[in-house]
Amino acid sequence: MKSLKNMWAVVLVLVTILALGSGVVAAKDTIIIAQGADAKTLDPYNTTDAPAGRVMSVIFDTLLTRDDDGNVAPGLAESWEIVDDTTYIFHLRKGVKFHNGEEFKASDVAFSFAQIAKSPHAVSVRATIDFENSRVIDDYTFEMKMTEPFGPILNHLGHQVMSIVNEKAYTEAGEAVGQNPVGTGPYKFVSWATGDRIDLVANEEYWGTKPSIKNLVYRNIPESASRTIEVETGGIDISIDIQPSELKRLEANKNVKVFRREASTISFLGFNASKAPFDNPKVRQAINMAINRDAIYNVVFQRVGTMATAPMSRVVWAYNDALVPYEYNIEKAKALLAEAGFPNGLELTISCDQNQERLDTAEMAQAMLSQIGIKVNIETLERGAYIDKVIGGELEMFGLGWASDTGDPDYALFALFHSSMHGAGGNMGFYTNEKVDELLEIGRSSTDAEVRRNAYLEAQALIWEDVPYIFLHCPENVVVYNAKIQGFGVYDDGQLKVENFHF
Amino acid sequence: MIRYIGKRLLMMVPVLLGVIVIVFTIMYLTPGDPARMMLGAGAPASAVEELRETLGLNDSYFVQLLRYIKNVVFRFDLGQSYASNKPVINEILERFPKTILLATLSVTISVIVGISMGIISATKQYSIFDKIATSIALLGVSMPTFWAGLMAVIIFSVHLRWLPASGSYGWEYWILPSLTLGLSSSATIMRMTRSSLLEVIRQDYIRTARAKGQNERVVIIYHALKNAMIPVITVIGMRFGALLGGSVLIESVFAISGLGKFIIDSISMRDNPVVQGGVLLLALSFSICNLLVDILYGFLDPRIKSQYSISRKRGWRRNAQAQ
Repeated sequence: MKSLKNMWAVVLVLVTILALGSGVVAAKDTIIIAQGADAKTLDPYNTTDAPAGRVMSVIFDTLLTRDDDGNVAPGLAESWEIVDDTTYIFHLRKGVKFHNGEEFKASDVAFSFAQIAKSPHAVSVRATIDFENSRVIDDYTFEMKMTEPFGPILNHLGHQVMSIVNEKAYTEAGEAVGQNPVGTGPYKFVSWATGDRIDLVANEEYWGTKPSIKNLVYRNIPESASRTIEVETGGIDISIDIQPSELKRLEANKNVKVFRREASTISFLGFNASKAPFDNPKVRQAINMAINRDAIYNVVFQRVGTMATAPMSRVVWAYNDALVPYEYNIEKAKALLAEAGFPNGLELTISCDQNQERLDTAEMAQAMLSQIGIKVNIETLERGAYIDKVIGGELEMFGLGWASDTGDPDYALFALFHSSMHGAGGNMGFYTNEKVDELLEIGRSSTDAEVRRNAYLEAQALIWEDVPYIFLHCPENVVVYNAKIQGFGVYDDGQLKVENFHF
Repeated sequence: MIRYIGKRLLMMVPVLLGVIVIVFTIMYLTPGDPARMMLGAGAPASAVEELRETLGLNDSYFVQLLRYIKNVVFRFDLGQSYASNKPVINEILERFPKTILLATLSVTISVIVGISMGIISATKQYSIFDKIATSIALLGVSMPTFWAGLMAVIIFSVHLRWLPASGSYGWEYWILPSLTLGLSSSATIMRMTRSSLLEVIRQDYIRTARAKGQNERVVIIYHALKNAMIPVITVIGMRFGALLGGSVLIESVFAISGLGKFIIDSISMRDNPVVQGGVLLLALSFSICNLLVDILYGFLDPRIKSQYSISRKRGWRRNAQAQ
């Protein structure tokens, strides 16, 4: 009996050693990436959620992508022709295999386009694609038609929601399509422990750079502090969504490296121009002039990212770098406010959701505006209610941000400033300027890059002068990774270049 | 007894129906449009409208409510998550085992630690041990579990490197979260045991037991503790029931994909089917917990047990009369 017990003890020790040993061996060809939330679904047409997007970006490919300078680059389409304003022909890559072994053909593009046409998540990305008349020419050629010319369409084709799926796999998966993604990307889907982790394995037949790390794991670690601890102790290799307050400590740590890059996002305090007195540009300018953005940049954003110098982020092409920075001048602001008809100041409410940065910004603005006789009330709302009120035009001033998902100025400006987009469309400040409308329309409909650039440069200058929002800050994408990872890089759209990583 | 249990189980039906109606109504009245939340602030109104139509959100309150009740009652179908399109029942059941495990582990820890500390500080009232234990308990009650969890991670994972910092991939991953959660609730149990035991110890029958020369340990464990357990069991039951709803903070700190964080996230995302299904499950497990506690009362106190039988007899008589 005793010897049996001893034997069990020996077996247990051996098992433990084996388990620990295999863990060490496996770690060398595995990269664990942690993000703040689990993906909701891996059906590319059913979400625009960022955590899902990161996972899908390595499973799926799109027809076109963007190179490091933000120019349109080949993806599943090797080359393309612009026949006229409304006709594009794509020559597809040959010999590309989906993860289920099926060959990639133009019929998959047609099938994927049919899904995109139906997806409510794709409305602004699909823009004016004419799905009815787009067609397969042969197995490796696809013709895309537009109902109206749309300049930035090639940029849009690189968006997550335009991913190309395999017709057979997508149809067979039926309802469970969100849990069975089959794409052409560098990694194949293996398993998903809901709410916890998604396991992927390298696609040996990938058409691009073959990935050298065999296993890729996406873990959901909601607490930012826990993610940081894990990356510092080596429990994970890459941590996404890092708080600015943690940056200093991480940058001092030799075991990890910090990757920082400006994002295509801009954050601002918006005015609701559908409500008096915010329809008066002088009032907006006065308030804008009384805001010390340097202070907000230092305190709230802790000097991470850049101060906004235009109505869109610097990483979006056609960014206007010649705009005169706003002046911070209390006396002039007072005078301007008096000129606008408020010599004794006024009272207003700044609303925000529970986002700490927005709340801090609102509190600083409250103190700053009191200097020109404006009494500011701050109101915090739950996010769902907040968005309802913002787009319903019920608020006076509000903190918000806007990202240009496609890296194109149309995405950055049209929805936010065109008068046809008031409220729910994205123009949450109910800003109207006919000249700006006209320029944004030129930018949208022209396919000539130079014409578009000039239109956007001018539009930015006009918007900058009108102060529809108090433009504050462009944040950074911050990724912390294990210093042993070589070849670390990030695509123009912020996704990791996982296929280049190795130890 | 069995009839009593059966009756209690039947009584759960109206409770659960009530929960369905209340949760549905609250979610219906809460500002914030689920379709808008799924698509984001900048999505075009047409897209939101399209999604509302697909999700059936454009139907009237009663149509939606009746449809939901009909599906739950007749088809045991809790619907599909707006966000993932997955059946809600799968989403919940995939997370529930972890929640149950965490709840069981931490309640076990808190029962063992809480009751034994409670006994010692009650029997050695005003001793130095009692003072230390009461101060630790006070600390345990006032310390936020969130902070305690992070501190535990910093000590045991970062500095000592004994235990993993987050995840749930093996037994060693469960040590820190269940200890943090268990020790923090052991404080309440300890205080409850102490005060209840102190009250019982002063009763006449304890004096009688001691007078007949019974061993002190036997007096405390068999005579006093059993009678002092009723309020303690109540606290443990409530605690267990609450933990079955998941512990949002501990789940976040240790990245355990349990129910708590999931339901909270679903509320802010307006994923109504998940919220309704989740709360329904919570109500069900809480009711079962309460039932178990009531049954345990019967074992601890014959007087309560006899009441169960009386109510059974009364019920039986009523039925007889009706016939």
